[in-house]
Formats: sequence, C-alpha cells, structure tokens
Amino acid sequence: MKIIKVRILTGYNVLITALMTLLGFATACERFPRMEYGTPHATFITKGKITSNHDNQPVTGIQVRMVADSNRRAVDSINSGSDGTYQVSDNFGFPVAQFYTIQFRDIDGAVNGEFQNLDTVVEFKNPVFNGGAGNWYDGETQKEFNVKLKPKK
Amino acid sequence: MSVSVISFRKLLALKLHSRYKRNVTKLHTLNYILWECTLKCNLSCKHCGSDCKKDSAVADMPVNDFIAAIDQIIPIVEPNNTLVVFTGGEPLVRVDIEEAGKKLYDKGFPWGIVTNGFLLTRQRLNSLMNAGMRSITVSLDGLEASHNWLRGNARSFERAFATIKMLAQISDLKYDVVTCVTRKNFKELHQLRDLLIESGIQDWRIFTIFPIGRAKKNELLQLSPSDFKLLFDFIQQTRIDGMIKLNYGCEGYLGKYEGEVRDNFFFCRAGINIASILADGSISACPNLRDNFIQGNIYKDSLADVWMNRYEKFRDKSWTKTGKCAGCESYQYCEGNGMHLRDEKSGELLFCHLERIEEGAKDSLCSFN
Repeated sequence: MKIIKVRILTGYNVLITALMTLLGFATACERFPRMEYGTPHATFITKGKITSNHDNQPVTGIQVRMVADSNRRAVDSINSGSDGTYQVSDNFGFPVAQFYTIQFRDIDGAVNGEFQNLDTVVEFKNPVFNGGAGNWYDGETQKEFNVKLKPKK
Repeated sequence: MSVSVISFRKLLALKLHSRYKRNVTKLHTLNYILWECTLKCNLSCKHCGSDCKKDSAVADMPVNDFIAAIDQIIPIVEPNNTLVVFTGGEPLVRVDIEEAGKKLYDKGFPWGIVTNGFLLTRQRLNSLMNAGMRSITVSLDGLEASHNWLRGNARSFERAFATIKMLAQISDLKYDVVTCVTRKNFKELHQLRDLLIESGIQDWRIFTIFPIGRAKKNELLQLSPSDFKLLFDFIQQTRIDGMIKLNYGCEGYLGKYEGEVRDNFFFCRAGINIASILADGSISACPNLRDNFIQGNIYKDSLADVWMNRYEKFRDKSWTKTGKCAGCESYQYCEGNGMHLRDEKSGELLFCHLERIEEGAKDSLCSFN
C-alpha cells in the first residue's frame, strides 16, 4: 500500500479516536484486545558534541537524525545547539542490543560553515537500563558519541 | 429496554468505530501472531475448542520451522509492535518454548503464553522470563469443584491458583486471569471475584463458551439466556465497583453493553491484525478458525505472501450478511460477529450474542411479571 494512503488512513483513525474520547469512549479503539498485548520498551539515548576537524570549534545547526536499524525508521531529529551539543533518543526501542544509524547533515548552507555529511552506526551492546517502571518500560540507557565533521572543500 | 436500543452518544461512537474498523481493515497491519505450538495437553478440558490430547498424533512443530516463518514476515511488520503468543494444547508441556521465545526476543518480538498454569513452577517461570517472556494468561474456571470438573483433574485448581498467586507477586510481568463461564460456575462469580481481589489479581477476563470442539456436545457449558444476560450485568457492575479490572473477552457484538463490559468496542481482528500458525503449519487467522478459514501452510507458502495477498474473507465480510444477519439492524456495528462463531464449512452464524441477550432480557421480564 502506498505510504501516502497508509498515512491518510492512520491520520483518519487518530481523528476518530480523538472524537470517541470526546464522546467518553477513550479506550474503544484500543489497538490490542487486552492489556497483555503490549510491548516492552526502553529509551535509547545518543548524545555528544559536534566539532570541526579543522579547528576543533563547536558546529551549530547540524541536523542529527537517529534511525533505528531494525526497521530503518527515523525515531528522532534535532539540530545541534550553539555549543555543538546534541541529544537524540528512541523512546520506544525494544530493550535488547540495538543498532542505530546517526545521520549528521549540514542543512543551513554557508551559515555556521559548510560541512560534509556523515552517517555512522552506534551500537548499544548489552545495554543496562536505569529507571524502569517495573512494567513494560525498562528505563533508559545512553551512549556518548562525539563527532568531528570535515569542512566542505 | 431492548439491548439493541442504544443511547445517541453511544450510537454516534459506534458509527465512528465502524469507520475506524474499515480503515484498520484497509491498513491490514499484522501485529498479533498466535502460535499453536503443540496439540499436547496435560489436562482434558470439557470445553476445549482445539483438537488437543495428552499424546497428540500431530508432532510438535520444530522451533526452527516456526522461526523461519517469522523471519519471512520481518520485512512487513514492526517486530517491536508485533506480539507473538504461544498457545496450544498446553505450551508448557514443551520444554523448548524458551528457545523459541529467546529467538523471537532477539529479533525484537515481544512474546507471551496462554496456559492452564498446572506446570508453572517458579523455576520454569524464571526460565521463561529469562528468555524474554513478558505476558501470561492463566485460566481459572471457577471455585475448586467447578474448575476441577471443567478441567478434568482433581488438582488443577490448586495448581492454577498457586500459579496465579505467584504471578501476582511479580511486577515485571503482565498477566491476567481468564474464566470461562458455564452453568456450573455461574453462581460462583461473586465469590470468585472476591477471591481474585483478595489474592491481589488486577486483571480478569471472562469468556463464555461457544459451541465448537468438545463444548458442542455439553449443554452444561452453555449459559441459559437469562443467565447470559445477567452475566453482562455482573461484569458491568464489577467494572463500576472498580476493585478489579474486568473485561468480557474479544468475541461478540453486545448492543447496549458495548463500552460497558470491556474497554474496547467489539472488533473481530482475526485476519485483519491477527494471524495464527497452527500445529500442522496451517496459516489461519485465530486458532479457533480451521477448515475453510485456513489461508495456507508455512511448509508450502510464505507467511508474508499469505498475509499480504490472502485473507479475503476477513478483509471483506459481506459474505456474512446472510441468514439471521441479513436483516439485522446491528449488522453495521457487528459485521457478522466473531469469525470463530461462524460454521467453518457453511459460514452460517452459530451463535449471536445480541440475540441471546435479547432472549435473556425477555425471560427476565416474563419471570418478573
């Protein structure tokens, strides 16, 4: 099915669910018939600092996207701050070892300097989760990943 | 008041829900897979809908065969949002379900089991949880005498109840208790509810037994119409009291009881979101659907191809608008009731919840007058 059709139908159902909530039937469109049919999940955080490999100065305005390797879906996106730091997370990752592709894109052209794109893989090997809720949510785990971007020639 | 007479607010919600169902049907997203991992069972329940026996003639499907079928669907599902449930027979008679579960978990699939609880020791539970099991459903069909009667074993209540109490102590596991209500245990429901609340059980689900499998030949398993209606009054009141989260099972359109006796409105998701792999490799929609409802076999077909290209009779249910459904005013909300309630060969409706509740309401009125 074409992606656009899936999005329309999904959006339509979100609207219906909202209307039914207003009518007092918030759970009537429950995705699964019963509570046990849920999903264990955890938060996988990748954070770090982006600097220029030319002068080690922080790079601002770089778009950072986190893509889950399990289904090739982008789970988060942010632009690096004025100090070059970034943090992206997958709030609904499955609580086992995971791989994520982190994509760094210079989307603001000459503003803040021009840098080459970079794709890199972050592995959460034998992750340890903290702050679980004692139910389906296992808590969070994080990796620090600093990168140096090459200026465009 | 008739059970098909519904408030305007609920009617509006039901109409919206019909549209919602249509959209979900078009999306046809597979997110729930049942695996009938064995036909062997340690009990001999009177109501069993499957063909299980202590020593089934059908050999258990090797774990690798099942996993190979699961591998085929990985490109078309979101594993993390696709629950796999092991059913049977009795899954715990297999010693290798942990192996299957671990393989699933490593691929990102959450999984759980449905069990009679007889064989579940703390050691086995640890082993299952270490393999990633996160959900479990245990059957408890009344107080001791009626549970043992239905389950055909003098120790089955003791063992199932011990299992339930053990599960209530574990925080990192989703579980619920399932009760099949029959003529034998109907009058015990209040006591059973109190027992479950005292034991710390938070989630309880009630089913009624439908006329297939062994249940077809035993009248004691079917509630009378008036008791059938009273059952929904009991569920409704228990939900209002709020001491335990009680839901009626996923089967059957219930008229004015929709939205009152379970969290969600009726929606038979068999073949729309749910697929099953039966013990012999047959691909179905839910394990209660056999014969003409079978869509393929994992030993001949790709599970992904079957899911994407078949299941026509589940995706278009217009064929169910025959017999008593043809002129029914509630058809737009019900769409032919649960698929497992239709005859596997002729497609005729075997049991109409709404009709049975209406009969019960009339009986109650007659006795009152």
